[in-house]
Amino acid sequence: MANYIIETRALHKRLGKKVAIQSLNLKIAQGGIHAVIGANGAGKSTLFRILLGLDAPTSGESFILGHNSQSLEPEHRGRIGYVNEEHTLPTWMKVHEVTAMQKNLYKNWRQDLYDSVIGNFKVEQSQKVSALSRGERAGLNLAMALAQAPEVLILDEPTLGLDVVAKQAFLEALMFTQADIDTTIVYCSHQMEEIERVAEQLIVIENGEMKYNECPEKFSDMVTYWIFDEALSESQLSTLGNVLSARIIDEQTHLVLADLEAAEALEKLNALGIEAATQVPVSLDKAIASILAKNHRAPK
Amino acid sequence: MFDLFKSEYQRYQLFAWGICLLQLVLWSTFSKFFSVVEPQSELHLFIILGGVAVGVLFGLVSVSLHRRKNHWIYLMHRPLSKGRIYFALSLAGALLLFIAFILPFLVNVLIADVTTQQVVEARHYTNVLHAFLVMLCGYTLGQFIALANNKLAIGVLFSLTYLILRRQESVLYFLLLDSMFLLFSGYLAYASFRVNLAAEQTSKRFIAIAMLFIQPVAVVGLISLKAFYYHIPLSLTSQQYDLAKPLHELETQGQFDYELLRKHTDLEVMQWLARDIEQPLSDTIQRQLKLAKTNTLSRAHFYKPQHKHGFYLHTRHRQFALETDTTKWVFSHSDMLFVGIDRQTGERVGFLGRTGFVDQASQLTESNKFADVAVAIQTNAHYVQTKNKLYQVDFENKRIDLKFALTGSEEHFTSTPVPMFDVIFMSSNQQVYLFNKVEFVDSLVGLAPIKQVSLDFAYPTLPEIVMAEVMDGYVLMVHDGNLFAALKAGAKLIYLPHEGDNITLVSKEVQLSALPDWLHQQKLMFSPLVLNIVDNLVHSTLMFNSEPSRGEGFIWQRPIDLNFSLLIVFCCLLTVASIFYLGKKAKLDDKTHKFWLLISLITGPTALIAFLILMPWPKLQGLIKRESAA
Repeated sequence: MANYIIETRALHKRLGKKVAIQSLNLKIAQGGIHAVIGANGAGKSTLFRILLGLDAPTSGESFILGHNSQSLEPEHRGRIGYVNEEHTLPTWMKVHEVTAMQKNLYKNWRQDLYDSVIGNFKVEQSQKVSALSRGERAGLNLAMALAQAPEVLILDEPTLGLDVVAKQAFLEALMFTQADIDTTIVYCSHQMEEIERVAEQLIVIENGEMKYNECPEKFSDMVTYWIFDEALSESQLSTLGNVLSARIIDEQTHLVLADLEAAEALEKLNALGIEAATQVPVSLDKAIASILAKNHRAPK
Repeated sequence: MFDLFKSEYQRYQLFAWGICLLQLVLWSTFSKFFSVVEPQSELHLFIILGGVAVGVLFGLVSVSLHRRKNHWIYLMHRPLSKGRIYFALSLAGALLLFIAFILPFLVNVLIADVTTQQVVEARHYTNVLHAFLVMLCGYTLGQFIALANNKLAIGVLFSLTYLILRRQESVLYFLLLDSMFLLFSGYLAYASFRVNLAAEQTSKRFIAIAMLFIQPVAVVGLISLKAFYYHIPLSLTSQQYDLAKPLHELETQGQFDYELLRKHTDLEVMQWLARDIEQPLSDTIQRQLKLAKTNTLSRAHFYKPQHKHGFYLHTRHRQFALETDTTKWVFSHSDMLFVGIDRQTGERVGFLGRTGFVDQASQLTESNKFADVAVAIQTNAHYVQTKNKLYQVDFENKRIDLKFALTGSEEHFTSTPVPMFDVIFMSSNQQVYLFNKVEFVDSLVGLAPIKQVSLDFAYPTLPEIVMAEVMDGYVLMVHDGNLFAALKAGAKLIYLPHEGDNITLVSKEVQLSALPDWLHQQKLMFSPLVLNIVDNLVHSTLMFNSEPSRGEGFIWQRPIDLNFSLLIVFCCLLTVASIFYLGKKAKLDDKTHKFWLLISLITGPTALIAFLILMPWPKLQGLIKRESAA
């Protein structure tokens, strides 16, 4: 258990009639940035709430830093950072007052880290938090979360609603600092370009279930895009396994397959009588989008 | 912890100091018209009620703001124990409430104490403390409601009526009660302040204390249901009493219900009672009663012995403020005598003790002090009444005389002197006294009653007393729900002739209630053990009765028939069965489930309401709606 910074065992959470998390067996190793991806309602935030002990699972167990998340002590909480999408902060206080409060609270406070991160944002110490822009507030929140020098930092859609410049500053600050400290970062986002930039490991959650837990390169290899002239019947498609999408465009079939290496996929296509299938490179964001879009209800 | 306290304080400090300033202005304006130090009972009630409302509101709002999803994570996910987080927030809340609402009150009392010669004593400061403690009780209950998963928890606020409506006790009693209440309400809020708010409460202490707070509202709720299944159907089918009929036609099978007496005029009731007088007196009395005038002892004349260092809020009893004199005489609980203060200069000009007037404080001795707290009765003549003595004061000649003293052991006054026809009426818990009006005013020597009637037993408070003047004397009617013993209602007619001995004309026992036993004694059914004890001790609060408490006896002291006892047992068992079923459905852990079953055995159907409020049973508590998928 000590090898994993976060671990869940058969974690199940039912919210009324809806299953939010289903038999989730998740293992996140120490170090690096782990991106948690999933469509809205996939159960990501519920998972974080359970991991922080703010919600209880219906069944199963979850551990963070080796401790059962339902019985986290204050000392354990001091080693876990958390930043949410709203960047909740006491808006009635001034920046230096909030910082001082956090500094007193966390004994491993790293002022150097704080200074270096906050330097990326135009934040005056004498400003009131309520007067900060959303991007500045995100910067302040990130600076404080990193300066706590947590062993694990959970970022739940931290760039939601930020403009391009603020997002850029946030990601740069995160990446530069992460390289400098020994913090495992669990990063949850819907922004594929962000994921592509920061993620060292991808965790895809769909309908409360973990679908993938791979590094980005391997994940990209799992999704292949093929174009060929022949049309495929439903029964032929079913022999190919995990078909993410199959569309006819300009009398050509565009096929996206998952969970198959390119050679394996080509072999299966050949077996169906398709000799001239062309493989088109798939970017990580397209691969992820294809995976997430598969179960997404399209308008009728 | 201090940082969090400071942060919470900073959040509302501007509001708090703003309200403080506004209150200071208001108080200093009010102090020109009212006594801020010893407010009239209405103003005092307003202060306490206002304090409770503000406390509840602030508790609700401040915790609800933290309870929002991401804000709760921000608050709880930090290297501080939940206890320290709770105390940091609550101490800041208490300080803010103190600044906004208590400080201005305190400042005004302090100014009166330091800059004037008014009678300002420790009890006036404890009055401020009382207001603060009650406010904190409201604040912690507000926190509890905001943290509860079921908003029906708002019902616990009803328990505050016990603190708000009791106004005649001693300061010490109040402070003890406030502190106990605060301890329990604070515990409820503290125990509800958990990282995972949706988790079920398994602490036995929490369940037991929450039960105590939910009991009153659950009982009142259940009792009020009888309007729907009993009173309204009876009214719709015209089976309720027709009060337009004469009383004797409302009598059924020789039985009569006490409620009816209270719905008819005194003369009607007296005439109805007079029908049972033996002839030939019956006709004479009935004839005379038709033309007689009556005089009723009003609630304003009820007298309850005052506690030393009590809040003592009735203006009428507080001081002598004579139109002919610029001096007002205020009773000091510390010195146990009246202090004379010049209304124009504010200077102390003398003292009035039981042995007479004294000019200088240095001349006072122990013998000057009254043995009990005295109240001022300001009429054409002026009287000082203590628990068992009545003095007459002559301000012109600076003299005080003992007019009348009760002699019975444990006997104390229950009324002030009331003029009725040609007599002065006074009552104690054991006797009714009639005095000659002229002698009562003029005589400065010891006074003897012209008539004296012994009551059946020592009443904690006054029964209903009506006097009618007839040709050769008076007819006194006494009726009460407990006239012949606890829960034994009845009425009496007593003839007090000018000459000769008193004659009891009629002594009639009636049924206490028109309702069948199972409805009338529903309180027993809803909570056979706990409520009985509570009911016996705090009866008046539960019944919104402003009279002093009139306990109806513990369960073992009440006449209960077998059928009703079986119904009580049945209700308990039905509750146990329901909680057993619901507990299984809610998948309660075994220990908690067993504890709930035990509680339901003790407290009966009220436990079921408490269970529904406190347990996270998803279908009942709407958790499905609240817990939207992330």
